[in-house]
Amino acid sequence: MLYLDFAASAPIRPSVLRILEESFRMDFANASASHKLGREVAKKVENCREFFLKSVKGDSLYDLIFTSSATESNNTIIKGIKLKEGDKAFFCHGDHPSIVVTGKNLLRTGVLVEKIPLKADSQIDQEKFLTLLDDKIKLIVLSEVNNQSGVFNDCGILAKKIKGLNKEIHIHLDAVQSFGKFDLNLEDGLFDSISISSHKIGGPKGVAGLFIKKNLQIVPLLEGGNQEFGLRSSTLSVPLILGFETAFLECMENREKKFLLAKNNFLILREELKKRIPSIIFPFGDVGTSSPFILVFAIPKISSDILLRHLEAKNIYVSSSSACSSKIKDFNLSYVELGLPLDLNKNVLRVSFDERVNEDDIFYFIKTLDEIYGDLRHLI
Amino acid sequence: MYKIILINIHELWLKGKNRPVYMNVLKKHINKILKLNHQGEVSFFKDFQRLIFVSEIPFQDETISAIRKIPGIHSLMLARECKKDLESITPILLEEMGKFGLEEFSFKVDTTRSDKTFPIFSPEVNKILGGEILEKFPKAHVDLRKPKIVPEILILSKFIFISVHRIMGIGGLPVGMSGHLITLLSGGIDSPVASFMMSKRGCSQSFVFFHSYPFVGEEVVEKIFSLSKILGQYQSGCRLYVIPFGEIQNLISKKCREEYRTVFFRKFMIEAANYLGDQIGGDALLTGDSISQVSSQTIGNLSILDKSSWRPIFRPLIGLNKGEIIEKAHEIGTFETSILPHDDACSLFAPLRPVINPSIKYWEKFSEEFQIKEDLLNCVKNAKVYEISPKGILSLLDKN
Repeated sequence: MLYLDFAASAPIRPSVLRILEESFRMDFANASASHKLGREVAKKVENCREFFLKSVKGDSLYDLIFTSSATESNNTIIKGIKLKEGDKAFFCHGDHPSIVVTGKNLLRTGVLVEKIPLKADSQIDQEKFLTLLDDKIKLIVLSEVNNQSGVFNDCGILAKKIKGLNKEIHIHLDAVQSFGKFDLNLEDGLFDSISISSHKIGGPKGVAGLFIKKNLQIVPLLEGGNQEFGLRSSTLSVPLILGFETAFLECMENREKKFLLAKNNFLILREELKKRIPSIIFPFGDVGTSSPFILVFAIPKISSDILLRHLEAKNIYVSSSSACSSKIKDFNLSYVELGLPLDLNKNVLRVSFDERVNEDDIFYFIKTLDEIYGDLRHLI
Repeated sequence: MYKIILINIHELWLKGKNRPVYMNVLKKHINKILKLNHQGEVSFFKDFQRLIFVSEIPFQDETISAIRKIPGIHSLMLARECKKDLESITPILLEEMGKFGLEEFSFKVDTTRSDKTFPIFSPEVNKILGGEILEKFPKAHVDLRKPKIVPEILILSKFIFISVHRIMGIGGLPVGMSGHLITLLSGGIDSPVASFMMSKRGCSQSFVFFHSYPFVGEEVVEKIFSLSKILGQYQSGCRLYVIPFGEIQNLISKKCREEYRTVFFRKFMIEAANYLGDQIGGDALLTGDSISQVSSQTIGNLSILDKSSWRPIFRPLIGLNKGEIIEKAHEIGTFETSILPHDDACSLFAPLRPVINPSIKYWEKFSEEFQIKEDLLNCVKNAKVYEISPKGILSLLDKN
């Protein structure tokens, strides 16, 4: 089997499994309990929190709350910060549904929702964007790496410019696809909140995180026992949190080397696929503007669900623009928003991986796709 | 809630000497349905060409609607019994009439005196009982032409049955009396209707679906499952064969002229269905073709396809309009499933200009040169086989 859909969910790391097993067995006490067992597991969580915060140099300015998913983290901010009628919020409409859907729902409360302008390569058009900023803007949601296109935006630079113009704007960063892969440095305090996720980096599902500026006022989604600084009531899942930490720890070991490895694979994929399938299109920029962990391509006239199933029949798993919506004959709206031409909308395949996929795997994928293409080309 | 069901048989007058066999097949089918649906013990009687099922506990609505779907049944009567004298009928009849909760209604008592030794003639029974009803329900009136309620009195050899509920069946012949069909299902509107029509004519069936994976996805198979579950309720247990066909289609596409793709796909599906028929015993194939509905159903294409089949191909919808087919599909409950969007054939294969009048010469030449019997047999061998119970439950059959 060759799994190349890490951007959807990455396989769990063996080190994480070990921690999970141990922690589920040992750390059964409630972290809010006042007895010794409870205090001990609470201490583990606090150490874990500190580790995350220190790793991103955010310990002086930020708190970290553990949530159940990045969707929850994004919701917590978009629904929780106090926006009033007439306030403006900016989103990229090609981003993850937990941003786009939640963002659009703000319209109901009278908040004006605007689109962040994109360039032809679907990177944020920073110059144009900055001219749109006015004092009504209260919230901007940025994604460092777009999950569907793999496009990378240097949000640190952008955030600095935005804050230079208006310090009051809440800037939320969705770092789900970049966390553990790219460097995250919160020293400057440019972002007001940041979402991260565990299962995208080989940790368990069911746990994610949200960094928030200390003393930030938000209305919590969940109320009850006042866990997580009162921002998210719920009994802490200590094993999941420790599993998340372990996955992150492993990602941070030789992070730069892993990044280069991915970049190498990315470049091989691009070059070799282009050589073998001349009509192939890479609609979202080059290695400079894309995450090296995600490669998106389209083969004109062959809809991606057909390719996806042909690959699946050979035990290779990728993601396609029409995979979950092939029943619905509509277009994939995220790709429309990201500026992909309509005639390619149903032709997009996304290959994503991390350092656990090696060059041999990449060549095997290229060879298999080439064979499939050869088997189908008489039909196009 | 009734403990007695009387079954009137359809087309019985046609059958002459075969009648006992028909009765027996139908009885077995009903017993199978009862065993699957009904909890209590049921005893069976036959009286004057009627099948009578008597249970210790009342029959549930689901059981009754399951029986309604059995081919060969003209109608079901939900009945109560009484002693063989006129006085015993009246209280029960009046109680039954009272259950409608109506004061003003029209009615007509209909007595069948099958037991000719019964001392009172039918018209007399009608008259007496009609009088009793009028006395109890003074606002009711007799209407011999269009009565709202028809209480029926059946005077048989051992009992008298009283019924105010006659439910129509689907008619036709008991399943299994008219041979076995290999039914080609596509997932569209037509083929399920064709299957229903031939169930009604007493044909047992094996359903076949050609699955063009990886060109089309798994959703279409889910849809075929749903349709088979509905169609299986008109059979007394049958099977579905999901035959992998994507590779064959691609192979054909590589070799034949583009405009002939669809017809050749159909030719080899027909051949594969025949091979399956050879193995499991099938007397004919069944398709949902309607003449000239789509390009592959022109008379030219249908005629040429007939040449590839060594079994007759039944096409019960051949002369129906789409609207008529849709109406039938609504009736049997397959329409909503049939119209769920799915990729039944991969758009990649669809020829730009499909052939309407195929050239016999090219057809024969291609058929001669393109021999894929082994591949077809392999596909049939690799089919996934599902059992479908008459209750509409589908389960994968382990071929080992």
